[in-house]
Amino acid sequence: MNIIEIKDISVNYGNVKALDRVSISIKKGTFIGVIGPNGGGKTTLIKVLLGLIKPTTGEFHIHSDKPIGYVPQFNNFEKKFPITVCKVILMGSMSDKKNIFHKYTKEDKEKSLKVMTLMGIEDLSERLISQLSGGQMQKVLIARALMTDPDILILDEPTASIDSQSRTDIYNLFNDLKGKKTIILISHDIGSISSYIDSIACLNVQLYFHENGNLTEETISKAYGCPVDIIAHGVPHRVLPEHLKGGHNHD
Amino acid sequence: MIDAIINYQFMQNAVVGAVLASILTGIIGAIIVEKKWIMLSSGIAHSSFGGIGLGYMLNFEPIYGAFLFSILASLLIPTIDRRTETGSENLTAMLWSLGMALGILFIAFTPGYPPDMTSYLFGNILTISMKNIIIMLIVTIIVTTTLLSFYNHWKAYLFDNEFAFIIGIKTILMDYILYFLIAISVVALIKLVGIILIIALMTIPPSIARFYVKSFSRLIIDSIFLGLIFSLLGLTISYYYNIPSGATIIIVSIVAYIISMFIKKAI
Repeated sequence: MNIIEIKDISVNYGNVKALDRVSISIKKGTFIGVIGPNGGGKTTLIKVLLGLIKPTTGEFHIHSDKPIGYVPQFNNFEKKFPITVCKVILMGSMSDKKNIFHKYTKEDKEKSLKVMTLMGIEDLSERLISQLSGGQMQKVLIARALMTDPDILILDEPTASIDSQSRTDIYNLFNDLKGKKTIILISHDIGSISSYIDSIACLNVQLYFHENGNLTEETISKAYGCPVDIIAHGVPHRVLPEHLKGGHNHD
Repeated sequence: MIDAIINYQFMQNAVVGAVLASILTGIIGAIIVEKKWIMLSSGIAHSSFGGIGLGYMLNFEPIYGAFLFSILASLLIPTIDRRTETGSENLTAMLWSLGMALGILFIAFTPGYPPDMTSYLFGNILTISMKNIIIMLIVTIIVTTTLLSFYNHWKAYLFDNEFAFIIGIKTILMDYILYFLIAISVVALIKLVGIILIIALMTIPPSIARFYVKSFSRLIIDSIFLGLIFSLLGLTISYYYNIPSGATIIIVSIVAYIISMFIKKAI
């Protein structure tokens, strides 16, 4: 069963095409990685799914009555707000009860404790978010997203600029959630996500989707349209694509 | 001074005014500091000058004109901002100046001697009337009720607007409500501290409280108390030395900010 169906979505910012006729169907319970160059429209696509941006043309359907669990890029985050970790996580439980004089229930609080334990951040509960490291903040944001009991989890660069221990923790969590939730992971970290994901989509204004998860040279070259250096991730050669899509010659 | 408070209506008004002003500035101040809408709020306050001028020209209560102009500005900024690429900062600057310019024109068109605008620009807590108090009381009730009845919504909205939207909170509606609350609050405070000084009264207490608070509710409560201390202290000093009250309150607040900055550094 497809949980997300996107049909011919285009988004224009003025004259600039951010997304061009993007179509994809995502099966329930899959873990999909989205890679692509900066400005390739990754964040735009997510914002469309979240309802933050209206697509210029095209349509999409999300077959879930719960809000999407969204984990934003933590380094875009305003950390000066006077709030403690446990209060941030509790916020996630507001999704189903938004009544006047809203108060968090005992169940909400118990659930937040459970989620904190799952993320290994229970000892940070009373810490101000301004006192958190990048990796800790990222775990808090994931915990908050899990509080909504989402069917779909979308993460925007969750492992960018955090230490390798936190990164391993987060990837391990994905392995636990795999199959139970549909996960969309945006990442620059092509090499390290390939072992976790079921399938991969490359987005550079247009979308190239590979159901089997194999990252081929052609996939990457098509998406990036320019030389991609993935030596750092243990791939023993530099991908030099043939500029199939009318790319520029960088030599 | 206690004698004066017991014996004189104007001193009683001033003290009640200081209490109400502290509640209003504490709440709205904490919100606009977190939302980073400080210049925007100042712009809305200044735009109300046009309404004051209009009131003088057409011979009706200038404060009602101020409400009209500030509410109009607070609705225009987000509405135009959604439809153009100009940006709310630029729009604020334009409406800020437009309001002031219209005010000056209206006053020039007013027949007879030009009225003294100092009390609107700089305020005077010692001259506020019962009518001012009632206006402030109504606005304080509206602001407090709106905040308390949806407190967790406001907190989510201020902390992470995008997340609040995704979990189904009507953030665009809250934007408009907040603009409206700012508009009515600044006008309610005009007679006390004046258009020009309002923004200082709104931003200094939360700036000090931010040095040490660990929650948004404490930010608001402490801002209210700090605002109250500054207003009463400023009022006392201005009473004894017979100097302008609005300016005195602001200087007291700034001195307190500088002291707390050093205390924060020392700890």
